[in-house]
Amino acid sequence: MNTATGSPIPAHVDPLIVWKQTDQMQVPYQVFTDPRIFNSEQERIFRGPHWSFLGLEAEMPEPNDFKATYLGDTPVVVTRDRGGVIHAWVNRCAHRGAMVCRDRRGNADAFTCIYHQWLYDAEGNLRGVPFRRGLGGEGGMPSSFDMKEHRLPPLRVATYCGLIFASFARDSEVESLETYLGAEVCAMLDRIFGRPIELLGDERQVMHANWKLYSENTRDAYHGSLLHLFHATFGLYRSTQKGGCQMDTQGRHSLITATKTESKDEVSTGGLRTYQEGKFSLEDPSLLTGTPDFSDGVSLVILAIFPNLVVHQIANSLAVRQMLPRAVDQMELVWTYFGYADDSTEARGSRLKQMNLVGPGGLISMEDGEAMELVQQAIARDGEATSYIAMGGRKGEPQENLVNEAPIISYWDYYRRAMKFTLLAS
Amino acid sequence: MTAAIRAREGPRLRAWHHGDDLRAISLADLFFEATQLIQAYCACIDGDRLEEWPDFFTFDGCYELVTRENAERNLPATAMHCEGAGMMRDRVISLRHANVYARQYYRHLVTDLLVGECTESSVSVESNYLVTRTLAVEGDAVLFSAGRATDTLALTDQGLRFRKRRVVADNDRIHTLLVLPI
Repeated sequence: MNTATGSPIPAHVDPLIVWKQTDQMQVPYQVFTDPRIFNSEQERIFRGPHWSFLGLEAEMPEPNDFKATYLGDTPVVVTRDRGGVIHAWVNRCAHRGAMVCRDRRGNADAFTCIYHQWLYDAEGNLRGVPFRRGLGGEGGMPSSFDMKEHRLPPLRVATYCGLIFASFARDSEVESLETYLGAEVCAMLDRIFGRPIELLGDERQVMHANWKLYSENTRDAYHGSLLHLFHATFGLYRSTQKGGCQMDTQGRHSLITATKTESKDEVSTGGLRTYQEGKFSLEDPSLLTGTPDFSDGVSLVILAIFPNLVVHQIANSLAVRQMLPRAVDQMELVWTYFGYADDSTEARGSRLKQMNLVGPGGLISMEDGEAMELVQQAIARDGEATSYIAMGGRKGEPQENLVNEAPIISYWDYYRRAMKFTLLAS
Repeated sequence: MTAAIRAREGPRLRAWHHGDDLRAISLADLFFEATQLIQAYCACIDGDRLEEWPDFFTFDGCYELVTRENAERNLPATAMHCEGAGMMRDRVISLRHANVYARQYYRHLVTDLLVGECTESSVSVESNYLVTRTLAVEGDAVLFSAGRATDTLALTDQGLRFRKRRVVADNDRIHTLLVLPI
């Protein structure tokens, strides 16, 4: 104890958290429950040297289209100006702080704060202040008032394959988007977004759990065939199918893929409580009989991009999932589904049918929100207690199997670095 | 016959037959029978008799649950979508044997039924709904969804059945997960 200053906290211990060095990855549950950590994440992650996903260019194809969303828990607006250039700014009037844009999406060449009608262009520049010069020589702004110094706070924007990312960080503080994503992520985005897409719509799911529980969930190949029993029950899937996990060099992004195996495997099912060979079969198998979109045989892609994006390909279902952290114990997930602009009627039909598989009511995904909430409820008190994440070993390196937790381990290693949490030797 | 038994058995238009001209039936009778069908449908879901859910549809009936957000943008995404009774039965089997979720109950309140266009073989009706969801482990009846259903009903030998039921939910946020149809 640092008795010299009278502080109960030793100087070398992070004031927010005690995270002990252990042989395996053990995450203190406090990271999911402490509002101070949630606030710190807003600064160090969402306003730190990272790129957050804000939406798809296809959501705002026309000049003057806009979309209101959040970066972390900060309300922001993404706009496309008359020249087609995409901008993003904080949705907060430079005058007295009111929210300027009050629609989720639309088309507008100017944004007027309703409070005092301060007017901004799509780029966020202040263009009009009513009674700026007063009335009859009285009132008005001081003569020193410079419109150029009072704009909506801009974000740095970059796009890759039609995905829009933004960052609060200055140029010198954050890598280029392509470098940030890394070669593996870019290659997968090239694969999925290699042809023009067509929007199919959104779903919004509120989970009463910390956002990082979803980050874990989408880096977790281990749970796939154990929590989600749809495939196993209908004899459609085995966790022994070929697949693997890749991470970027920083360990923050994760790419889980699986390849459909044509023949039924002979491997023991390992006592899966759900395995019910031949007991159930789909009365309408058309749910799963879409023509593959890709020739590489990969039928499952869960691409988790730090900090707030998941891209999925589940059979013919394609979507981006934007994570919106709402509070330390609540997040919203916005699923935006898409197909390809040149989809045949049949291909589009398969995609729409397969919406039954995913989303909050998805036959193979509905359990995720439930599982996260079970964790959040159970860890309410013991912040110093930890999880134990060790499937596949401590290193968090790429794996060629689906029974590991390597991407979760590398995620937490990166998270701890990004949050500047010191590791306490035990 | 008490209303409860009648509801359990589903509506019966005993005097009518498949092939009858629906336009010959009085508006009051149509209103009554459509109301009975929808009330029995809701009682089936609220009473956790999901296995009977597909029986409220014609064999090629279509069920879809969408959000107002997507409907107003004319986008086809659905929260739940079944084409034909087979897909409905598959979902019920999945809910019973594959999916994991907290024990829960819906309570449907249906109001303001409007009888719309009527052809020889089908009649359109619209109604407002409000659904509460009670998680057995938590105990609160929480407002889960509010919206409007547009139904196309067809006359079968069993009485009126849904040929298409399209539910448009005003709420586009679903808390935790969506298990049961509306």
